[in-house]
Order: sequence, then C-alpha cells, then structure tokens
Amino acid sequence: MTTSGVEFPALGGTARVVVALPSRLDLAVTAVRHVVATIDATCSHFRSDSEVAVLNASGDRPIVVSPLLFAAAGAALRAAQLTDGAVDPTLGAPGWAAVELSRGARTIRLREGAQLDLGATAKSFAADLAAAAALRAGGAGVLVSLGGDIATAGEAPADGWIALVAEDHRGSLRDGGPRISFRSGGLATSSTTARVWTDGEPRQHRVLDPGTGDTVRGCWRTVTVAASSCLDANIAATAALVKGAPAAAWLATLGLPARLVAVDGQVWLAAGWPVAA
Amino acid sequence: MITRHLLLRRATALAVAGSTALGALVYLQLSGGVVAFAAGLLGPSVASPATDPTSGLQPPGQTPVLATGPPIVRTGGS
Repeated sequence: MTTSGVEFPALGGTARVVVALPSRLDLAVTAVRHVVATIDATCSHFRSDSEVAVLNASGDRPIVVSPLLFAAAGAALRAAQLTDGAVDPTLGAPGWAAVELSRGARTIRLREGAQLDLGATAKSFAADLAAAAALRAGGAGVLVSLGGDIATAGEAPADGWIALVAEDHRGSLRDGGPRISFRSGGLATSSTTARVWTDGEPRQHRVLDPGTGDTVRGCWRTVTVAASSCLDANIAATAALVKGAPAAAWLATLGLPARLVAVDGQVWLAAGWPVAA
Repeated sequence: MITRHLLLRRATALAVAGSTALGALVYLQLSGGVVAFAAGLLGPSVASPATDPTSGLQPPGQTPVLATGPPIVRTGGS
C-alpha cells in the first residue's frame, strides 16, 4: 500500500497529513485544516481574540463556553488529575483545582485568579480530533502530526505507520535515528531540547514544572511515548519530563511504551518499547 | 336509571382517575424538568467532562516495533 502525505504550517509548527489511500489526501487535508483553524480560534494563547483568551479575561464567574473549549479544558484537567499536577493548565498557580467545569451548564469558572493555559495538551487534543475528522471525510486510514504529536485513525498501511523518533520534530525524514512502526493510537514526544532560546539566560524551553514555576530541569531531556491516543501519549511524555527519575517506573506501571533520553544522552526504554538491534 | 347512574359514576371515576394519572404524569415531567433544569443551573463542579478521569492513560492496542522502511513522519519536541 502506497501512502501519500503533505505538510503545511499549523499551530505555530508544522502539520503533516498522511493517508493510506492517496486519492483521499485532499479530503483528509481539508478536514485537518478545518480542525486546526477551529482549535486555533478556540485555544490559542497567541491570539487575543481566541475563546480561551476571552475566558481568561472574564474574572471569577462561570462563563458559558463552546463545546470545543469545554472539551479541551476537560482534557487539560484530566491530564492534571492523572499526573498529580505534573501537567497543570494553570501552570501551578493557583493550581488546576481552581478551574471549575460545570457539565450541565457547560460553564468554566476560573477561581483565585487562575488562567487557563491549554498549551500542554491542545496540540495533541487537536491531532486526535483532526485524525478522526480526516477519517470521516476521506474514509481511509490517516495519520496527522501536529508539531511532532502524532495521531492516527482508521486502518494503517500494511507495514504500519513508520515514524522517525527524534528530539526535535523539525528536521528531515532522512536524518538518522530509531524508526518504529505502529498501527494505531498516538505517539508524542516532549523535549527540553526543542525551542531553546537564550536572551542572556540559560537554556530555556517551554516545558514548565508546575511545582516550581520554572522550566523543567530534570534527569530527562526527551521522552517519547506511545499510547491509545495522541493526547494520552503527550500527557505521559510531558509528565515524565516533570516527574524526573521516577517517570520510567511510572510509565512501565501504566504499560505505556516509552523511550526516555537522559540529559547525558543515555537511552532508557519502558513497557516494551522496541530495543534497537 | 340505576344503570345509567352507575355508568355515570364509573365514567366519572374513570375521568377522575385518568385526570389524576395525567396530572401525575405532567407533574412528574415538570418536576423532572425542574430537577434537570436546576441541575443544569447548579451544575456539580466536575474535573473532567471530556473523559472519565478514572480511566487512566491508555496504552496502545499494539506495542510499536522496530521498522526498517523509510519513515513517513517524524516525532520530536516542538
């Protein structure tokens, strides 16, 4: 089976859409673009007119929000719950428990000055939505990568979806590195090596430790996780960076195949992640 | 006359019973609606409406395997 793919800018990074049936690529891409645009208008922190920006400016009162924002916020709070706050949509201050969601009224209330930051989960949440939408539109197996967070839907190609595992999603597919094949679910990587800037400061990246409010400075620099969805893979990968050394055992207990790269470059594998020959 | 009287009483009784049942049904529907409406207004605060928080992070259906073919996508930090 021959796959066909295309790339385009999305959510501050690169989107890649690959379909198992080349004739369905246009339908899949149209569906993915629509989801990406909707997510951007709803969850972006880089737009003052996004729905989450308006919510953050609304103060301490219940605000009726769109079903999409409600679901995205729910996904972010689920991440906080499942990681004991290692992935926190309030970035630790005042803490995710200050975000109240009311299912019946579809409202969100931000108490104690909380600000909702969906940056840790929105991209993987969007990738899952986009893959599902692309499958519905094209009727063929599809893979959607948003900035290296990968979701799949439908039937995989005969040899599976083959991914190059790197520390930065930007780069060539011809680069060296481990390659894995997977048939369903999602794959995500969190890394402290991507988006490094200096500004006279030490190496900075965007992965924050909610416990300190500072950038993560743990024992791992990159963690890649496979899970049943891109969202779950991303939650686990980001939490592992924050949790530090105990993360390898945590991932193994959860049965989440993972590849962890220590700061010194040593590679650790968990829960059946394939061992390179 | 007696027969007509009995029929009238039975009809009246049936009407009363029917209206009572209908009234009860309406009451139940209304009260249920009010309860539902109140629940919607009060809305118990929930942590995660999108997914059951107790479901945990879910492993993939199949564990990834090493591949030898050309990659079609690249995962990495962003």
